[in-house]
Amino acid sequence: MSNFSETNQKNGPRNSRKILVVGNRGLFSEDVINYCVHLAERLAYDLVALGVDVQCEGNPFEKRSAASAGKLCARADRYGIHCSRLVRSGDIELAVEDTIHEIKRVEIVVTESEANSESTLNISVPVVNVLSGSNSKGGGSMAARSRSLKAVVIGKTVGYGALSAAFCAAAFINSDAITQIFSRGGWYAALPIATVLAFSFVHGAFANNLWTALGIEALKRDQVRQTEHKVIEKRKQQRKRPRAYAYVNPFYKIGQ
Amino acid sequence: MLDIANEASKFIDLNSISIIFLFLVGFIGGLVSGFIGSGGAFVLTPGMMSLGVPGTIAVASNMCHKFPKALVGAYKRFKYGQVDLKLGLVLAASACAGVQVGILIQEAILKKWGPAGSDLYVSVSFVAVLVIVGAYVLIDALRTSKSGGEERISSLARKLQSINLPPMITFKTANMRISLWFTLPVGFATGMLAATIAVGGFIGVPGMIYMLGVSGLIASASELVIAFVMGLGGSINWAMHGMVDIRLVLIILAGSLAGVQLGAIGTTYVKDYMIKVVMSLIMLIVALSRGFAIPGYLAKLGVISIGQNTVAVLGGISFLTMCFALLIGATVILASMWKARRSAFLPKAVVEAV
Repeated sequence: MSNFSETNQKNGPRNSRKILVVGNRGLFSEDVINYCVHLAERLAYDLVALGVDVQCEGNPFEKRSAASAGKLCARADRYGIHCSRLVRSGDIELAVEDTIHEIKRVEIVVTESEANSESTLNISVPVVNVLSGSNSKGGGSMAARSRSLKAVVIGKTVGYGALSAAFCAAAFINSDAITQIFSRGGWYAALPIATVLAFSFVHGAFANNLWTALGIEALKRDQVRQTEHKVIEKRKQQRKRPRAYAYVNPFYKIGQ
Repeated sequence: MLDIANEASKFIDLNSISIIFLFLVGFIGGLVSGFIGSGGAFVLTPGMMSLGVPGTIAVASNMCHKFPKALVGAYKRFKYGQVDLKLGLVLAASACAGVQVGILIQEAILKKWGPAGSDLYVSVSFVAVLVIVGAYVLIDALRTSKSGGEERISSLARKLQSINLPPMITFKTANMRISLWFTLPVGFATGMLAATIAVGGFIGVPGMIYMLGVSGLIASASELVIAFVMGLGGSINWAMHGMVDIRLVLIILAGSLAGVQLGAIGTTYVKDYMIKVVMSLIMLIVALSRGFAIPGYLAKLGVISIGQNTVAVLGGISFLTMCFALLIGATVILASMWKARRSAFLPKAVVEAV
């Protein structure tokens, strides 16, 4: 049922906490790689890349999975994160459970597609699903949607930019007259205040769309923070396993 | 308000170099403001004056750009869930009182010791506040980074939060409950410092962190609300006296509105204690820059005697050091963002705990 091969990036057994990354048909997308490496860096966990050969393809699957897992491990290596690779075949849920029991100290399972997530529902550690924008099922429509969103942002940038430029041009072409009127004081104070507020609205919108169009957006760290929080809660809630203590009587059978 | 009734309004002629200079300084100042909640504007007044803009017009135009920049920055950071609006407004109320007292003190010193005495008072306040507070914030930030980046509430803040002195106010976003009486000195000091050295946030943000127990992220974001309220009030006052040069304001705003949004975005890429690091670095370097200007004022008051050339050189060093402070702050912010961005691309993730 299970075919096991492991490649370690660094020598020697490791007892550190791990994130188990389950590939989608043995492949690891850029989104999953980015997410896992970032999460592992924040939590100082190791990474284990698992490819599950559900269709029992054998060698072609192993080659494909090794190449893709190699990318994940290469990225992890850049950040000093220990990364190893595994290939198993058979049912995903059983493969993941077996792996968790075998390699020990798996704290989080990261999986890519929703199909994977359904089969990993009964796994004993927290499961994170990374919804990839480039997965094969919804990839086409997601890409088209993001292209049209980008077009809207660029349109808004150009529109607000033109409006902002027109604002400045109007102010500077008649700068002497405008400066004199705006500095008359008294009730004329409303003019510079209103002008500044109006310009801030237009130019602020332009700047906002400009950064978005350039791909500079706020980082949604909430997801990583939620994962960290759930890991910590899970650790707190884990019950102590009952331990059996063996007391050896050193005087047993002496004198018999 | 300072007696400016007799000062003639002089609006300078602008050329392309001064436009580019003001735009760039506005951008960098906005970047720093968006990140640490304040601190970008203090370079602009001397910057404008170095272009030949009279002092009161420089101060008025600076203030007129500060409040919309603070509004845009506060709105952006509000969307990221970092602004505690209630906290900002409560502190703004006492800050307005602090501004009035600060202005009265300035006027009294101006009357007794003249412009040189007033400048000396401003500079000594700068150095004292910025060195003491800046050093404390830097030490705390380094301690936080060494202990894994988790911010802890100071023991003073914990003690003050535990005192039940009505009226008690709960601040939801800041996640703390404290007596109104303890917020008054923080807001008041912010306003007083704003009236004295034009940057209230250098007291306001550390005050919120160490006295009230607010995190650096929320303190710097909520400070923008205070800056908006104070800036709006001050700008209306200056505009009513006809001291605002709208051309300078628009040029600076063109740069600072872009910068402040970038600074706000930057706060989502870095660990919380980085805000303290950047703020303290800027404070300490600005304190140094003001230190270079003090001998000039002492010479004008006749306390010491140094040559005119030396005064001019020290003045130049002072200005350049101030620009350096802003540049260092901007560099640290952009470098931190770049470093975090390389490893931190998280499109969508759904967490399911089993």
